[in-house]
Amino acid sequence: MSLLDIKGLSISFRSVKAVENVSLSVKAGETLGIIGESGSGKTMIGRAALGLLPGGGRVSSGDILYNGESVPGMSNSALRRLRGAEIGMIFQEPMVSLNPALTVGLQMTEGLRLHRDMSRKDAKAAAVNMLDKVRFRDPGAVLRQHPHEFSGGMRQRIMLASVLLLQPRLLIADEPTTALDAIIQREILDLTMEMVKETGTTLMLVSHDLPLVASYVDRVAIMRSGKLIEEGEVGAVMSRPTQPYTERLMNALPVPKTTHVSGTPPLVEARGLSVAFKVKSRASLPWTPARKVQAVNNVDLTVHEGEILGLVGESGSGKSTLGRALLKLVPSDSGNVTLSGQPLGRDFRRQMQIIFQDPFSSLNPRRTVGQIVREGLRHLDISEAERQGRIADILDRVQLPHQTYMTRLPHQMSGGQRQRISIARALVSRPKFVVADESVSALDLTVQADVLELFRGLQAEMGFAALFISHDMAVIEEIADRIIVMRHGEIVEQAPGDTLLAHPRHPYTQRLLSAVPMLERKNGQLTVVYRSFEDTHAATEDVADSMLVEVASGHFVRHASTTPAAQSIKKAFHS
Amino acid sequence: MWTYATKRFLMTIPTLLLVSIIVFVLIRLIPGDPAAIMLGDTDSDTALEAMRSKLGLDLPVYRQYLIWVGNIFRGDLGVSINTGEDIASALVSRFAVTAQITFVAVGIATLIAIPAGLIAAWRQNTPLDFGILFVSIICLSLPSFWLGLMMIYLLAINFGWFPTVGFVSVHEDFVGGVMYLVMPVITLAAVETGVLIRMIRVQTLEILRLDYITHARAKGLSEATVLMRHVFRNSVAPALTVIGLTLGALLGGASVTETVFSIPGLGRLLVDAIFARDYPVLQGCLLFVSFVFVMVNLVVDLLYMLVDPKVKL
Repeated sequence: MSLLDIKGLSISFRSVKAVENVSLSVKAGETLGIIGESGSGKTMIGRAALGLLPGGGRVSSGDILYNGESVPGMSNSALRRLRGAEIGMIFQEPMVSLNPALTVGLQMTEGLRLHRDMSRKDAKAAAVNMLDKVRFRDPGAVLRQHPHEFSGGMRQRIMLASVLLLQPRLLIADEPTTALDAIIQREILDLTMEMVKETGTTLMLVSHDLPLVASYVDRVAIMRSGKLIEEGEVGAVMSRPTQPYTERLMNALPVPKTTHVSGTPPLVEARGLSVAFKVKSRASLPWTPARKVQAVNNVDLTVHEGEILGLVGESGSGKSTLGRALLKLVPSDSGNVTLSGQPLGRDFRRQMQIIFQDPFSSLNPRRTVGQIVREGLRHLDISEAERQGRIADILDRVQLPHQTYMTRLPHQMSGGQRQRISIARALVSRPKFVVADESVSALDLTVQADVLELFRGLQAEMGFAALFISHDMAVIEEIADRIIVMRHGEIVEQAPGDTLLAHPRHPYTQRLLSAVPMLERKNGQLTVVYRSFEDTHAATEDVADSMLVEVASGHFVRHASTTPAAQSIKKAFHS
Repeated sequence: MWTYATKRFLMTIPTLLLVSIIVFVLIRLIPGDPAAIMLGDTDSDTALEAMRSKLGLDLPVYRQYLIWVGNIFRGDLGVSINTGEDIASALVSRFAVTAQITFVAVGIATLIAIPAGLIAAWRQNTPLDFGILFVSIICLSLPSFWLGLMMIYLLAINFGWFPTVGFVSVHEDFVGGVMYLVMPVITLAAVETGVLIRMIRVQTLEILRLDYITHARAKGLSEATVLMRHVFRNSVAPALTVIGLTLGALLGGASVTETVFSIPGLGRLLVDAIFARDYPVLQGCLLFVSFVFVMVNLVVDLLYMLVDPKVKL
């Protein structure tokens, strides 16, 4: 018998249907992935199973049966007995899903004390035991701390422990790792699966990322615009998708680009670029010196004409700061940047442009598309007719026909369309160099694929060079000719795309790559696999005194200065 | 935690020093000669000179300032030109009156506004929410002098429930004192309640949308527990700053209300000193009011540590 039985479920917000006629069942002990992009209604199904639809939402028809009992028909007190104890839920944003004002201990034990009627001491002991299982070194201390003292990954582990503490029979994890870096993402998912298997919990994993989820679940259900469009055993769905949309979700997996290594001359060059931020805590006196955080540390970088240089690293690695420092959007402490061998003069921004991450806040909501794109031409000395022509041309090129879109306002457009406007605004002045800072990270997977393709097409047509910054190795693989891996403000590895993907030398690069899901066809079955690498021992991590060493043509890896390879370079340099 | 408290406390020293300089300079910028005012109508230059040197006005400005600050540390703020009353003791007795009214008024406003704001947000877009909002808008848009005068007219003169104007200390006559307090307190509390309800409501709406509230509900907690344990602290914390600012402003003298009800409070003292060109009193009042304001904000910041764990650095 199935544990959760969803029958013809429709959920509506006033007149808008968020979920339409969805039937699904989850058997005890299985793991089901619900896949869909934003607005597909995937989250609402999980919420409805707990009777926790957000304001204004209601089940308009159909039913959800938990263990044979109708959830929408339950009284409030029956619902409260269900929540936590029978069905546990993990939320997406670890930064806002724990109460900042209460200790971790209180938040972990309150559910236990409520449902199990435990003493404070027993509840605490159970919490310590559970934190130990999710691999906290000092669980007792964790209980006394507040959420803000932990990183995103740690908070999500606390969340996992806190929910599993109640031993629910069904665990609903709603995008549990979306807000995390790739490496931590896999750690958390692995840990979740381990715990779920150990306790025999049934898992409903809600995600937008089919490739990521595919290797963890037994069955998948694909949702689009509130409807369930495909459902089945994961291997079968992936190998023989019946819906073109499913196929598109699969195709969003990286197809490594064939690198064109060109002998073009250098366009943008940075030498010894360093940026430090001053950080002051709230509780300090005005005259106490600020703490310095070295965001970018002595970076040398060259972008050749017409190439796309991919820059990848986890959040806080300094990659965005580096991109901005190249355009002088943040002041650098030392080092210099040149464009075609010349120092950046007064009007370098006509030649160098940036595309931002967030398609919602980077466009002025009161200006029309035409006005926004026109901004890019403000300082160009050209006739009005030419201006009009250029704006129309670039809008057509980003596949937003100017006849239709010129007078629209940003809020009338989707995220993907807005990001195209950002691209049009940056490219309308025909710059030689563009920094794309996480430009597709806020987009859904299939939209992301479209925008990437568009970007690549434009680059081939217009021939600009680009620095493409992303935390997502999959995106970088797909678009970059050459790849730079950054960590803690320093470049740790740098190589042509195919070289880096095939022979990563730095352990950090290897970890990044092994967190990216890949498709592989085995005996006619499509499966998701992860890369693994042998330990090369070539590069050393986290040493203070290190330098980039060229290990092959164009392939640089950070080594400790004491290694023989580094020593020989030093000698050559000094002689 | 204690380092933060100590640092925060030390921060008040430069603030107060700066305030004392500003007050001192401002008074000296007012046109007119205090010596001439003290002497009244006189043509005698020698008398003026004598008065100036008696008041120390012939000394260089920085010496005057140092003498003044030195005296403050000895608790000597000088005497009033008009009444010859000791300013320090006048300030203390006037402050006691203002503090009584203010603390009671802000206390009542807080006690009404917190639950009202929480409930209005919790029941957003229901008749209950609209009702609370309506009342709060009326409260904050009534001018306090009008409300005061209307209460005097209706409650005191027509019904005779309360004494019209004046003040009796609750230490001397508790029931009588309380009767005198009722109308001024209502006048002050009305506006503050209106402002606070709206603020707490908006803040609570913000908090209710966050994942940790849904998470708390998903644990099976009752609505009462969710509101009390998870919403309350987070939505009241920002209101604390506003309550502190209000308290500071009102303790510095609710001049309008004190004038309407003829209450001998700090605000009246200040207004009277301005009309009478009583420089020493004015100077002492300004300094004292600033001191109270700084202290109230110090207390609020320290209280903040209790509700917001991130401050414990």
